[in-house]
Amino acid sequence: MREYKYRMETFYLFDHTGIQRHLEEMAAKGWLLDKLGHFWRYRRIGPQALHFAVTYFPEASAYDPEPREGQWDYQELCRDAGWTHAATQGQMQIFYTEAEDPVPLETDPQLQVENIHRAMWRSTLVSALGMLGVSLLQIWMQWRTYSRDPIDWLCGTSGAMACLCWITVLALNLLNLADYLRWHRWAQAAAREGRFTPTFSRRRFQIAMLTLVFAALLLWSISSITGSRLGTLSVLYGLATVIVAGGVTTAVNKILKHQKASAMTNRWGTALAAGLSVLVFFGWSTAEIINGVDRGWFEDSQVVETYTAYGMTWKVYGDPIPLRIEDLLDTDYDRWSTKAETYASLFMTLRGYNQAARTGDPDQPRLYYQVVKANWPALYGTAENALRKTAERHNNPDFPEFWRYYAPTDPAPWGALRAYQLQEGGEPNTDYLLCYQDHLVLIQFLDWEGEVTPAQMAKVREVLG
Amino acid sequence: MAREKFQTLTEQMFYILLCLGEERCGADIMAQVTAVTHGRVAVGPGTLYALLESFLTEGMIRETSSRGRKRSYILTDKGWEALENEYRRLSLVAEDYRRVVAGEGGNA
Repeated sequence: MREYKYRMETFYLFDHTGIQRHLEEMAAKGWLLDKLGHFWRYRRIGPQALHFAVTYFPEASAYDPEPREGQWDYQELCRDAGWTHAATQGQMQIFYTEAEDPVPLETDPQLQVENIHRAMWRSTLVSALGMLGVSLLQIWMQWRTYSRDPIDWLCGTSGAMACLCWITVLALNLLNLADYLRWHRWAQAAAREGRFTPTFSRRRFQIAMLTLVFAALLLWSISSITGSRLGTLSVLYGLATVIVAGGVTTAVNKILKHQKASAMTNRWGTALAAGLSVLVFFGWSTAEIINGVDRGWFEDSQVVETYTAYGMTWKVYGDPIPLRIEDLLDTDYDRWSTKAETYASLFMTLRGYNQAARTGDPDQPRLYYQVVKANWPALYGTAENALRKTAERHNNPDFPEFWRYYAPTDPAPWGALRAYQLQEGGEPNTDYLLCYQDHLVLIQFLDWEGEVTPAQMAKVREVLG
Repeated sequence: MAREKFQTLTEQMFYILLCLGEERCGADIMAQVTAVTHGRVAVGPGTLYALLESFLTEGMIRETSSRGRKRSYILTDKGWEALENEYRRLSLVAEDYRRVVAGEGGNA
């Protein structure tokens, strides 16, 4: 039978009523709080009816090398009153007693409210405001990224996962602040009349939100790992960064405490260690990824050959692609390079295909096309608008005569619902955007001789429609 | 601000100061308050700690001795003054009550 158990508890710092009730329930089941931390440790005891009390020592800090003078005096007074010290973390101290009707630790509601408020200001409120600011900034940055290129954002999993995580952080911190301010207002009013005000918990909501974030992280990890080698490495490096930074931070904190460094020294030392370890590890992993890209470690495409032209080494890819130049033109050329890429998420899938001749082999056409499928029908319009706007991205407002834009054209030869042809400086181009029932095709006939013929349009319709 | 804080004393503040007319440590203060009030007023150790710290900061009490973690305190002149002011205030309140109630022939 195990002697200890560990649990991750999600109480607000000020939720003394909830914490007390929880610890009394645990004691009734035979588990006594032994140590506080990221995980609370419980020691096995016989089931007992104990009373718990949570109090706050605002001057204390999680970075203190040992309890402050006043905390020892405080614990001595509590011992004299029959309360045993269970655990301390930062400003929170927890006591218990076996007495049936003990004198509470706090008998003045106004003093209790003031004490909690001072503790909250020194620890939770400032950091909650900081996290609110950081999460709003992160969500705004994701919105900017989405606005610039919705398809790129929707086809990847990182953006949505980051949004979910930061929205959760925002919601939890907003709720923390709102719930505390509400309780504080009620408690102040009640204290003026000599009454105590119990706190309230939102544990179920917090656990639900944290479970959601964990599930999103897991989904993103699986999606990244199954999506590409780079995705796999991103997940592994991300995990390693968290583990290394967490480990270094914890180790530095423990060493400084052991060396009896002041709370200020410990706080700054730990922050510096965390920042440095993230920077160093992030820098190293970025360098590794760049090195890997240069060496082709993350190629998901099949490299069949390399060759030298103009003093540089080039790769020939041999990915299978659905529509080839040979399907559209009579050509004897057979030294093509074909590359396929896929970006997929729950929202959208983009498959990009590219066929080109070798560098140095002149006068050959090129074919580039994307097939975009909105996995959620509601996003079809978003995809269509985004693809149309790609042409306009670099238009200079001072030179409208050179503007690029997609103008409607006859969709019938393409077998599409709608079709657009790129206009460049008022002249039609051989780039088309084709809107089919459940997907879109953006196709570029590059270095093409003459117009795209009806027969070629029919072939596109047959293969990609 | 500090003068506003102790211009009127709560029951717990009053009885703690009253008990510190003699040198006493924390445990004795808690026991004495309960004894003097026949159990009507109880001071929790957390509240006692906070009030002792405030009284020390205001110069209303001073520490007389320290045996290990057991610290003893006693009222200063400022503390006596605050106690007597509160007693006078309470006496006036009681006097007003008697005058009004007795003056109206016992009618509330």
